[in-house]
Amino acid sequence: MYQFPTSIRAAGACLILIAGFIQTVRADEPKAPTGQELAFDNRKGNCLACHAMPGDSKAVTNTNIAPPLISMKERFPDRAKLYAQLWDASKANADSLMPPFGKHKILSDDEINKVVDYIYGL
Amino acid sequence: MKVIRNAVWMLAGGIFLLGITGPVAHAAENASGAALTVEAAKALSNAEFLVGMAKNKKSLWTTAAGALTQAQEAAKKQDSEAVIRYSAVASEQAFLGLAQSGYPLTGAD
Amino acid sequence: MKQLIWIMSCLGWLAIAANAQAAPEDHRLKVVKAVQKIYPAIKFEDYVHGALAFSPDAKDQYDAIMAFPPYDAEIEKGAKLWETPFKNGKRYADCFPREGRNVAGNYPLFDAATKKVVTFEMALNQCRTANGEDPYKHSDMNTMGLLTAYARTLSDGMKMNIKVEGKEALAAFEAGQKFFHQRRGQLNFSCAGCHISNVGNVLRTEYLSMAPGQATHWPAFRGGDYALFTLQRRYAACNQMVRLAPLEIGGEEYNNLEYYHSYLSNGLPLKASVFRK
Repeated sequence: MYQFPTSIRAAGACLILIAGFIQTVRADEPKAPTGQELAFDNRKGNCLACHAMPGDSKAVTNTNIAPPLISMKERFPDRAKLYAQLWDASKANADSLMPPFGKHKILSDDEINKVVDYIYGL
Repeated sequence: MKVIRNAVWMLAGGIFLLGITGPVAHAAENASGAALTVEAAKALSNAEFLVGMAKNKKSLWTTAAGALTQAQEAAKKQDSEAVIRYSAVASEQAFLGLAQSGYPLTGAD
Repeated sequence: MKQLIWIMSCLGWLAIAANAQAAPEDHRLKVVKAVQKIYPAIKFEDYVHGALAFSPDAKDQYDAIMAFPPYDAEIEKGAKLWETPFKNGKRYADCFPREGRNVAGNYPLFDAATKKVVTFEMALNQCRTANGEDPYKHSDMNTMGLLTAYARTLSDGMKMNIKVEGKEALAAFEAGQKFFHQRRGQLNFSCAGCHISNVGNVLRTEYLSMAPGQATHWPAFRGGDYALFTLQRRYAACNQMVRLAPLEIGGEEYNNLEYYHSYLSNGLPLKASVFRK
Protein backbone atom coordinates (compact mmCIF):
# COMPACT_ATOMS: atom_id res chain seq x y z
CA MET A 1 0.00 0.00 0.00
CA TYR A 2 1.61 3.25 -1.08
CA GLN A 3 1.98 5.66 1.83
CA PHE A 4 1.36 9.29 0.98
CA PRO A 5 3.97 11.60 2.47
CA THR A 6 2.69 13.74 5.38
CA SER A 7 2.80 16.93 3.32
CA ILE A 8 0.49 15.49 0.68
CA ARG A 9 -1.90 14.19 3.34
CA ALA A 10 -1.95 17.63 4.94
CA ALA A 11 -2.64 19.30 1.60
CA GLY A 12 -5.35 16.79 0.86
CA ALA A 13 -6.95 17.43 4.22
CA CYS A 14 -6.93 21.17 3.50
CA LEU A 15 -8.67 20.62 0.18
CA ILE A 16 -11.37 18.51 1.81
CA LEU A 17 -11.91 21.09 4.54
CA ILE A 18 -12.25 23.91 2.03
CA ALA A 19 -14.62 21.89 -0.11
CA GLY A 20 -16.68 21.16 3.01
CA PHE A 21 -16.75 24.84 3.95
CA ILE A 22 -17.97 25.89 0.52
CA GLN A 23 -20.68 23.26 0.68
CA THR A 24 -21.89 24.53 4.08
CA VAL A 25 -22.00 28.11 2.84
CA ARG A 26 -24.07 27.11 -0.17
CA ALA A 27 -26.45 25.05 1.97
CA ASP A 28 -27.30 28.17 4.05
CA GLU A 29 -29.21 29.73 1.15
CA PRO A 30 -32.94 29.70 2.12
CA LYS A 31 -35.21 27.34 0.20
CA ALA A 32 -38.00 29.05 -1.70
CA PRO A 33 -41.33 28.71 0.20
CA THR A 34 -43.94 26.27 -1.07
CA GLY A 35 -47.42 27.34 -2.16
CA GLN A 36 -48.83 26.01 1.11
CA GLU A 37 -46.28 27.99 3.13
CA LEU A 38 -47.12 31.15 1.21
CA ALA A 39 -50.83 30.55 1.76
CA PHE A 40 -50.39 30.05 5.52
CA ASP A 41 -47.82 32.82 6.12
CA ASN A 42 -49.60 35.80 7.68
CA ARG A 43 -47.14 38.18 6.07
CA LYS A 44 -47.81 36.73 2.61
CA GLY A 45 -51.08 35.15 1.54
CA ASN A 46 -52.57 34.79 5.03
CA CYS A 47 -55.40 32.88 3.36
CA LEU A 48 -56.43 31.24 6.64
CA ALA A 49 -57.52 34.63 7.96
CA CYS A 50 -60.63 34.39 5.80
CA HIS A 51 -60.75 30.97 4.15
CA ALA A 52 -61.21 27.59 5.75
CA MET A 53 -59.45 24.74 3.96
CA PRO A 54 -61.26 21.58 5.07
CA GLY A 55 -59.12 19.47 2.75
CA ASP A 56 -55.84 20.30 4.50
CA SER A 57 -55.47 18.98 8.05
CA LYS A 58 -52.70 21.51 8.71
CA ALA A 59 -55.06 24.42 7.98
CA VAL A 60 -56.18 25.67 11.41
CA THR A 61 -58.66 28.55 11.41
CA ASN A 62 -62.05 29.60 12.81
CA THR A 63 -62.91 31.94 10.01
CA ASN A 64 -66.23 32.03 8.19
CA ILE A 65 -65.97 35.29 6.27
CA ALA A 66 -65.24 33.89 2.84
CA PRO A 67 -66.05 30.69 0.95
CA PRO A 68 -64.08 27.62 2.08
CA LEU A 69 -61.43 26.50 -0.39
CA ILE A 70 -62.60 23.05 -1.48
CA SER A 71 -63.31 21.48 -4.86
CA MET A 72 -61.29 24.25 -6.42
CA LYS A 73 -60.71 22.43 -9.72
CA GLU A 74 -64.46 22.01 -10.16
CA ARG A 75 -65.23 25.59 -9.17
CA PHE A 76 -62.46 27.10 -11.31
CA PRO A 77 -61.98 24.85 -14.35
CA ASP A 78 -60.21 27.79 -16.01
CA ARG A 79 -56.94 28.31 -14.13
CA ALA A 80 -56.67 31.84 -15.48
CA LYS A 81 -59.90 32.79 -13.67
CA LEU A 82 -58.50 31.60 -10.34
CA TYR A 83 -55.27 33.49 -11.00
CA ALA A 84 -57.31 36.62 -11.80
CA GLN A 85 -59.26 36.25 -8.55
CA LEU A 86 -56.04 36.28 -6.55
CA TRP A 87 -54.63 39.09 -8.66
CA ASP A 88 -57.60 41.41 -8.01
CA ALA A 89 -60.74 39.99 -6.42
CA SER A 90 -62.56 43.34 -6.64
CA LYS A 91 -62.98 42.80 -10.40
CA ALA A 92 -65.51 40.04 -9.71
CA ASN A 93 -67.02 41.73 -6.64
CA ALA A 94 -66.48 45.46 -6.13
CA ASP A 95 -66.99 45.17 -2.34
CA SER A 96 -64.70 42.16 -1.92
CA LEU A 97 -62.59 42.15 1.24
CA MET A 98 -59.94 40.02 -0.42
CA PRO A 99 -56.69 41.96 -0.83
CA PRO A 100 -55.56 42.34 -4.46
CA PHE A 101 -52.48 40.17 -4.11
CA GLY A 102 -51.21 40.80 -7.64
CA LYS A 103 -52.37 44.35 -8.32
CA HIS A 104 -50.90 45.64 -5.06
CA LYS A 105 -47.82 43.41 -5.39
CA ILE A 106 -48.47 41.70 -2.07
CA LEU A 107 -47.33 38.50 -3.79
CA SER A 108 -45.12 38.23 -6.85
CA ASP A 109 -46.45 36.54 -10.01
CA ASP A 110 -44.32 33.51 -9.16
CA GLU A 111 -45.77 33.38 -5.63
CA ILE A 112 -49.35 33.68 -6.92
CA ASN A 113 -48.72 30.81 -9.30
CA LYS A 114 -47.42 28.67 -6.43
CA VAL A 115 -50.47 29.49 -4.30
CA VAL A 116 -52.82 28.73 -7.20
CA ASP A 117 -51.10 25.37 -7.66
CA TYR A 118 -51.51 24.61 -3.96
CA ILE A 119 -55.19 25.69 -3.92
CA TYR A 120 -55.95 23.55 -6.94
CA GLY A 121 -55.05 20.56 -4.82
CA LEU A 122 -57.74 21.39 -2.22
CA MET B 1 6.66 12.68 -5.87
CA LYS B 2 7.73 16.15 -4.99
CA VAL B 3 5.87 17.42 -8.07
CA ILE B 4 2.62 15.89 -6.89
CA ARG B 5 3.08 17.24 -3.39
CA ASN B 6 3.81 20.74 -4.64
CA ALA B 7 0.90 20.60 -7.07
CA VAL B 8 -1.53 19.65 -4.31
CA TRP B 9 -0.26 22.44 -2.05
CA MET B 10 -0.53 24.96 -4.87
CA LEU B 11 -4.05 23.82 -5.62
CA ALA B 12 -5.08 24.09 -1.98
CA GLY B 13 -3.45 27.47 -1.65
CA GLY B 14 -5.08 28.68 -4.83
CA ILE B 15 -8.56 27.64 -3.76
CA PHE B 16 -8.03 29.27 -0.39
CA LEU B 17 -6.91 32.54 -1.96
CA LEU B 18 -9.81 32.53 -4.40
CA GLY B 19 -12.16 32.02 -1.48
CA ILE B 20 -11.06 35.14 0.35
CA THR B 21 -10.25 37.49 -2.51
CA GLY B 22 -13.69 37.15 -4.10
CA PRO B 23 -15.76 38.87 -1.44
CA VAL B 24 -12.93 41.23 -0.48
CA ALA B 25 -12.61 42.46 -4.06
CA HIS B 26 -16.35 42.97 -4.27
CA ALA B 27 -16.41 45.01 -1.07
CA ALA B 28 -13.44 47.02 -2.20
CA GLU B 29 -15.29 47.91 -5.39
CA ASN B 30 -18.17 49.31 -3.33
CA ALA B 31 -16.14 51.02 -0.66
CA SER B 32 -13.76 52.60 -3.08
CA GLY B 33 -15.68 55.87 -2.59
CA ALA B 34 -17.44 55.44 -5.94
CA ALA B 35 -20.47 57.69 -5.50
CA LEU B 36 -23.92 56.46 -6.46
CA THR B 37 -24.44 56.07 -10.17
CA VAL B 38 -26.52 58.76 -11.85
CA GLU B 39 -29.23 56.17 -12.41
CA ALA B 40 -29.32 55.27 -8.71
CA ALA B 41 -29.44 58.88 -7.58
CA LYS B 42 -32.30 59.59 -9.93
CA ALA B 43 -34.21 56.50 -8.82
CA LEU B 44 -33.85 57.55 -5.19
CA SER B 45 -34.95 61.09 -5.92
CA ASN B 46 -38.06 59.83 -7.78
CA ALA B 47 -38.93 57.52 -4.92
CA GLU B 48 -38.58 60.32 -2.38
CA PHE B 49 -40.86 62.53 -4.47
CA LEU B 50 -43.58 59.89 -4.86
CA VAL B 51 -43.45 58.82 -1.21
CA GLY B 52 -43.69 62.48 -0.16
CA MET B 53 -46.69 62.94 -2.41
CA ALA B 54 -48.43 59.86 -0.99
CA LYS B 55 -47.71 61.07 2.54
CA ASN B 56 -49.32 64.43 1.79
CA LYS B 57 -52.38 62.70 0.40
CA LYS B 58 -52.56 60.50 3.54
CA SER B 59 -52.26 57.47 1.28
CA LEU B 60 -48.76 56.28 2.10
CA TRP B 61 -48.46 52.52 2.49
CA THR B 62 -46.08 51.09 5.09
CA THR B 63 -44.49 49.03 2.29
CA ALA B 64 -43.58 52.20 0.36
CA ALA B 65 -42.20 53.92 3.45
CA GLY B 66 -40.21 50.82 4.40
CA ALA B 67 -38.70 50.38 0.95
CA LEU B 68 -37.68 54.05 0.86
CA THR B 69 -35.90 53.68 4.20
CA GLN B 70 -34.03 50.68 2.80
CA ALA B 71 -33.11 52.64 -0.33
CA GLN B 72 -31.77 55.50 1.79
CA GLU B 73 -29.69 53.09 3.90
CA ALA B 74 -28.29 51.55 0.71
CA ALA B 75 -27.44 55.03 -0.54
CA LYS B 76 -25.39 55.65 2.62
CA LYS B 77 -23.44 52.50 1.76
CA GLN B 78 -23.03 53.67 -1.87
CA ASP B 79 -24.74 50.47 -3.03
CA SER B 80 -26.20 51.68 -6.33
CA GLU B 81 -27.72 48.33 -7.25
CA ALA B 82 -29.65 48.11 -3.97
CA VAL B 83 -30.68 51.77 -4.20
CA ILE B 84 -32.23 51.16 -7.60
CA ARG B 85 -33.93 47.97 -6.44
CA TYR B 86 -35.48 49.44 -3.27
CA SER B 87 -36.34 52.76 -4.93
CA ALA B 88 -38.30 50.89 -7.58
CA VAL B 89 -40.39 49.14 -4.90
CA ALA B 90 -40.90 52.41 -2.99
CA SER B 91 -42.00 54.27 -6.13
CA GLU B 92 -44.33 51.51 -7.25
CA GLN B 93 -45.97 51.10 -3.84
CA ALA B 94 -46.30 54.88 -3.36
CA PHE B 95 -47.90 55.17 -6.79
CA LEU B 96 -50.38 52.38 -5.99
CA GLY B 97 -51.27 54.11 -2.72
CA LEU B 98 -51.99 57.35 -4.56
CA ALA B 99 -54.14 55.51 -7.13
CA GLN B 100 -56.09 53.83 -4.32
CA SER B 101 -57.74 57.09 -3.29
CA GLY B 102 -59.65 56.86 -6.57
CA TYR B 103 -61.11 53.42 -5.79
CA PRO B 104 -64.88 53.38 -5.19
CA LEU B 105 -66.00 53.54 -1.57
CA THR B 106 -67.08 50.22 -0.10
CA GLY B 107 -70.70 49.49 0.79
CA ALA B 108 -71.75 52.73 -0.90
CA ASP B 109 -74.64 54.11 1.10
CA MET C 1 -100.72 87.96 4.09
CA LYS C 2 -97.49 89.14 5.72
CA GLN C 3 -98.18 86.80 8.62
CA LEU C 4 -98.74 83.88 6.27
CA ILE C 5 -95.44 84.52 4.49
CA TRP C 6 -93.70 84.77 7.86
CA ILE C 7 -95.22 81.46 9.06
CA MET C 8 -94.38 79.70 5.79
CA SER C 9 -90.78 80.87 5.83
CA CYS C 10 -90.40 79.78 9.46
CA LEU C 11 -91.73 76.37 8.60
CA GLY C 12 -89.39 76.30 5.63
CA TRP C 13 -86.36 77.04 7.79
CA LEU C 14 -87.48 74.40 10.28
CA ALA C 15 -87.68 71.86 7.49
CA ILE C 16 -84.19 72.75 6.29
CA ALA C 17 -82.80 72.58 9.83
CA ALA C 18 -84.47 69.22 10.36
CA ASN C 19 -83.02 68.01 7.10
CA ALA C 20 -79.48 68.96 8.10
CA GLN C 21 -79.75 66.49 10.99
CA ALA C 22 -81.71 64.00 8.89
CA ALA C 23 -78.92 62.70 6.66
CA PRO C 24 -76.55 61.58 9.47
CA GLU C 25 -79.47 60.19 11.47
CA ASP C 26 -80.82 58.28 8.47
CA HIS C 27 -77.38 56.78 7.93
CA ARG C 28 -76.97 55.82 11.59
CA LEU C 29 -80.40 54.18 11.71
CA LYS C 30 -79.60 52.27 8.55
CA VAL C 31 -76.37 50.92 10.03
CA VAL C 32 -78.04 49.98 13.34
CA LYS C 33 -81.00 48.33 11.61
CA ALA C 34 -78.63 46.25 9.47
CA VAL C 35 -77.08 44.79 12.65
CA GLN C 36 -80.49 44.22 14.24
CA LYS C 37 -81.67 42.40 11.14
CA ILE C 38 -78.85 39.83 11.16
CA TYR C 39 -78.53 39.53 14.95
CA PRO C 40 -82.00 40.17 16.40
CA ALA C 41 -81.02 38.39 19.62
CA ILE C 42 -78.34 40.94 20.54
CA LYS C 43 -79.85 43.87 22.46
CA PHE C 44 -79.01 47.37 21.24
CA GLU C 45 -77.37 48.32 24.58
CA ASP C 46 -75.06 45.32 24.20
CA TYR C 47 -73.51 46.73 21.04
CA VAL C 48 -71.05 48.45 23.38
CA HIS C 49 -69.49 45.05 24.01
CA GLY C 50 -68.59 44.66 20.37
CA ALA C 51 -66.94 41.33 19.58
CA LEU C 52 -67.77 40.13 23.11
CA ALA C 53 -71.47 40.21 22.20
CA PHE C 54 -70.86 37.20 19.94
CA SER C 55 -68.94 35.02 22.38
CA PRO C 56 -70.30 34.21 25.86
CA ASP C 57 -66.89 32.79 26.83
CA ALA C 58 -65.07 35.96 25.87
CA LYS C 59 -67.73 38.01 27.68
CA ASP C 60 -67.23 35.90 30.85
CA GLN C 61 -63.49 36.49 30.66
CA TYR C 62 -64.13 40.21 30.26
CA ASP C 63 -66.51 40.29 33.25
CA ALA C 64 -63.94 38.50 35.41
CA ILE C 65 -61.24 41.01 34.56
CA MET C 66 -63.57 43.99 34.99
CA ALA C 67 -64.47 42.80 38.51
CA PHE C 68 -60.89 43.49 39.63
CA PRO C 69 -59.14 45.42 36.85
CA PRO C 70 -55.36 44.81 37.02
CA TYR C 71 -54.77 48.30 35.64
CA ASP C 72 -56.46 50.13 38.54
CA ALA C 73 -53.14 51.74 39.44
CA GLU C 74 -53.04 53.39 36.00
CA ILE C 75 -56.51 54.87 36.48
CA GLU C 76 -55.29 56.17 39.86
CA LYS C 77 -52.44 57.96 38.08
CA GLY C 78 -55.05 59.50 35.79
CA ALA C 79 -57.10 60.60 38.80
CA LYS C 80 -54.02 62.32 40.23
CA LEU C 81 -53.48 64.17 36.90
CA TRP C 82 -57.12 65.26 36.91
CA GLU C 83 -57.20 66.43 40.51
CA THR C 84 -53.83 68.18 40.70
CA PRO C 85 -54.39 71.96 40.31
CA PHE C 86 -52.62 73.91 37.59
CA LYS C 87 -49.86 76.36 38.53
CA ASN C 88 -52.51 79.09 38.77
CA GLY C 89 -54.61 77.12 41.24
CA LYS C 90 -57.44 76.23 38.83
CA ARG C 91 -58.40 72.61 38.08
CA TYR C 92 -59.76 70.65 35.10
CA ALA C 93 -63.12 70.44 36.91
CA ASP C 94 -63.41 74.23 36.61
CA CYS C 95 -63.36 74.04 32.79
CA PHE C 96 -66.40 71.76 32.42
CA PRO C 97 -70.01 71.81 33.57
CA ARG C 98 -70.88 69.57 36.53
CA GLU C 99 -67.14 69.46 37.43
CA GLY C 100 -66.56 67.25 34.38
CA ARG C 101 -69.30 64.71 35.08
CA ASN C 102 -71.39 63.48 32.13
CA VAL C 103 -69.65 65.61 29.51
CA ALA C 104 -67.60 63.16 27.41
CA GLY C 105 -70.68 61.92 25.50
CA ASN C 106 -71.03 65.37 23.91
CA TYR C 107 -67.62 65.02 22.26
CA PRO C 108 -66.51 65.27 19.54
CA LEU C 109 -68.50 68.45 18.89
CA PHE C 110 -68.23 70.87 15.99
CA ASP C 111 -66.95 74.29 17.01
CA ALA C 112 -68.70 76.85 14.77
CA ALA C 113 -66.14 79.55 15.67
CA THR C 114 -63.00 77.65 14.60
CA LYS C 115 -64.98 75.53 12.08
CA LYS C 116 -63.27 72.42 13.38
CA VAL C 117 -64.19 69.22 15.18
CA VAL C 118 -63.19 69.36 18.85
CA THR C 119 -62.54 66.05 20.63
CA PHE C 120 -62.69 65.60 24.42
CA GLU C 121 -58.89 65.39 24.41
CA MET C 122 -58.70 68.76 22.62
CA ALA C 123 -61.09 70.23 25.20
CA LEU C 124 -58.80 68.98 27.98
CA ASN C 125 -55.86 70.65 26.24
CA GLN C 126 -57.86 73.84 25.79
CA CYS C 127 -58.38 73.80 29.54
CA ARG C 128 -54.63 73.40 30.05
CA THR C 129 -53.59 76.22 27.74
CA ALA C 130 -56.32 78.54 29.06
CA ASN C 131 -54.71 78.08 32.47
CA GLY C 132 -51.12 78.66 31.44
CA GLU C 133 -50.04 75.02 30.99
CA ASP C 134 -48.50 73.40 27.91
CA PRO C 135 -50.87 71.13 25.99
CA TYR C 136 -50.33 67.36 26.17
CA LYS C 137 -49.35 65.44 23.04
CA HIS C 138 -52.40 63.46 21.89
CA SER C 139 -50.25 60.45 21.10
CA ASP C 140 -48.61 60.37 24.56
CA MET C 141 -50.35 57.61 26.54
CA ASN C 142 -48.47 58.62 29.70
CA THR C 143 -50.08 62.04 29.83
CA MET C 144 -53.17 62.38 27.63
CA GLY C 145 -53.82 58.64 27.80
CA LEU C 146 -53.74 58.43 31.60
CA LEU C 147 -55.65 61.69 32.06
CA THR C 148 -58.53 60.43 29.91
CA ALA C 149 -58.36 57.00 31.58
CA TYR C 150 -59.80 58.78 34.62
CA ALA C 151 -61.51 61.88 33.17
CA ARG C 152 -63.71 59.84 30.82
CA THR C 153 -64.91 57.57 33.66
CA LEU C 154 -66.71 60.62 35.07
CA SER C 155 -69.11 60.19 32.16
CA ASP C 156 -69.70 56.44 32.58
CA GLY C 157 -73.33 55.63 31.83
CA MET C 158 -73.91 58.83 29.83
CA LYS C 159 -75.47 58.15 26.42
CA MET C 160 -73.42 59.17 23.39
CA ASN C 161 -74.94 62.44 22.17
CA ILE C 162 -73.09 63.76 19.12
CA LYS C 163 -74.70 66.66 17.25
CA VAL C 164 -74.24 67.53 13.58
CA GLU C 165 -75.77 70.96 13.02
CA GLY C 166 -75.05 73.26 10.11
CA LYS C 167 -73.43 72.64 6.80
CA GLU C 168 -69.82 72.87 7.98
CA ALA C 169 -70.48 70.31 10.70
CA LEU C 170 -72.13 68.14 8.07
CA ALA C 171 -69.05 68.46 5.86
CA ALA C 172 -66.83 67.25 8.71
CA PHE C 173 -69.24 64.37 9.39
CA GLU C 174 -69.18 63.42 5.72
CA ALA C 175 -65.38 63.58 5.63
CA GLY C 176 -65.32 61.09 8.50
CA GLN C 177 -67.93 58.95 6.75
CA LYS C 178 -65.85 58.89 3.58
CA PHE C 179 -62.72 57.94 5.55
CA PHE C 180 -64.63 55.07 7.18
CA HIS C 181 -65.75 53.72 3.80
CA GLN C 182 -62.53 54.22 1.83
CA ARG C 183 -60.13 51.43 1.03
CA ARG C 184 -56.72 51.94 2.57
CA GLY C 185 -53.26 50.41 2.85
CA GLN C 186 -51.65 47.74 0.72
CA LEU C 187 -54.22 45.25 2.04
CA ASN C 188 -57.02 47.40 0.64
CA PHE C 189 -59.44 47.19 3.58
CA SER C 190 -61.95 49.83 4.58
CA CYS C 191 -63.32 50.19 8.14
CA ALA C 192 -66.84 49.72 6.79
CA GLY C 193 -65.92 46.56 4.87
CA CYS C 194 -65.42 44.76 8.17
CA HIS C 195 -67.40 46.72 10.74
CA ILE C 196 -70.53 47.44 8.74
CA SER C 197 -70.62 44.75 6.05
CA ASN C 198 -69.15 41.77 7.95
CA VAL C 199 -70.34 42.28 11.52
CA GLY C 200 -70.24 39.08 13.57
CA ASN C 201 -68.11 37.18 11.08
CA VAL C 202 -64.81 35.72 12.20
CA LEU C 203 -61.50 36.99 10.85
CA ARG C 204 -58.93 34.30 11.70
CA THR C 205 -60.01 33.81 15.33
CA GLU C 206 -61.67 37.14 16.17
CA TYR C 207 -65.26 38.29 15.75
CA LEU C 208 -65.75 41.54 13.85
CA SER C 209 -67.48 44.11 16.08
CA MET C 210 -70.36 46.28 14.89
CA ALA C 211 -69.59 49.96 14.23
CA PRO C 212 -72.37 51.31 16.50
CA GLY C 213 -70.99 50.94 19.98
CA GLN C 214 -67.31 50.95 19.06
CA ALA C 215 -66.64 54.56 20.09
CA THR C 216 -68.23 54.25 23.56
CA HIS C 217 -65.50 52.36 25.43
CA TRP C 218 -62.22 54.27 25.36
CA PRO C 219 -59.53 54.45 26.45
CA ALA C 220 -59.11 50.68 26.59
CA PHE C 221 -56.46 48.58 28.30
CA ARG C 222 -55.60 45.93 25.72
CA GLY C 223 -54.10 42.50 25.69
CA GLY C 224 -51.94 40.59 28.10
CA ASP C 225 -49.91 43.63 29.07
CA TYR C 226 -52.96 45.94 29.38
CA ALA C 227 -51.44 48.54 27.05
CA LEU C 228 -53.37 51.83 27.19
CA PHE C 229 -55.07 52.82 23.94
CA THR C 230 -57.05 55.97 23.27
CA LEU C 231 -59.56 55.65 20.43
CA GLN C 232 -57.27 57.48 17.99
CA ARG C 233 -54.31 55.34 18.95
CA ARG C 234 -56.54 52.41 17.96
CA TYR C 235 -57.28 54.11 14.62
CA ALA C 236 -53.52 54.38 14.04
CA ALA C 237 -53.02 50.71 14.96
CA CYS C 238 -55.81 49.56 12.63
CA ASN C 239 -54.36 51.65 9.80
CA GLN C 240 -50.93 50.14 10.42
CA MET C 241 -52.46 46.65 10.32
CA VAL C 242 -53.79 47.19 6.80
CA ARG C 243 -50.35 48.57 5.85
CA LEU C 244 -51.24 52.25 5.75
CA ALA C 245 -48.66 54.55 7.35
CA PRO C 246 -50.70 55.82 10.34
CA LEU C 247 -51.94 59.39 10.27
CA GLU C 248 -51.44 61.92 13.05
CA ILE C 249 -53.18 61.16 16.36
CA GLY C 250 -55.05 64.38 17.11
CA GLY C 251 -54.93 65.45 13.46
CA GLU C 252 -57.87 66.57 11.35
CA GLU C 253 -58.49 63.25 9.55
CA TYR C 254 -58.75 61.20 12.74
CA ASN C 255 -60.80 63.98 14.41
CA ASN C 256 -63.36 63.95 11.58
CA LEU C 257 -63.34 60.16 11.66
CA GLU C 258 -63.99 60.18 15.41
CA TYR C 259 -66.86 62.67 14.87
CA TYR C 260 -68.59 60.34 12.38
CA HIS C 261 -67.63 57.17 14.27
CA SER C 262 -68.98 58.51 17.59
CA TYR C 263 -72.21 59.67 15.94
CA LEU C 264 -72.81 56.02 14.94
CA SER C 265 -72.84 55.23 18.69
CA ASN C 266 -75.49 57.84 19.58
CA GLY C 267 -77.87 56.53 22.21
CA LEU C 268 -75.41 53.97 23.59
CA PRO C 269 -73.93 54.27 27.12
CA LEU C 270 -70.28 55.24 27.59
CA LYS C 271 -67.89 53.24 29.76
CA ALA C 272 -64.22 54.21 29.91
CA SER C 273 -61.08 52.31 30.90
CA VAL C 274 -62.28 48.85 29.99
CA PHE C 275 -60.32 45.72 29.15
CA ARG C 276 -60.11 44.50 25.61
CA LYS C 277 -58.21 41.50 24.21
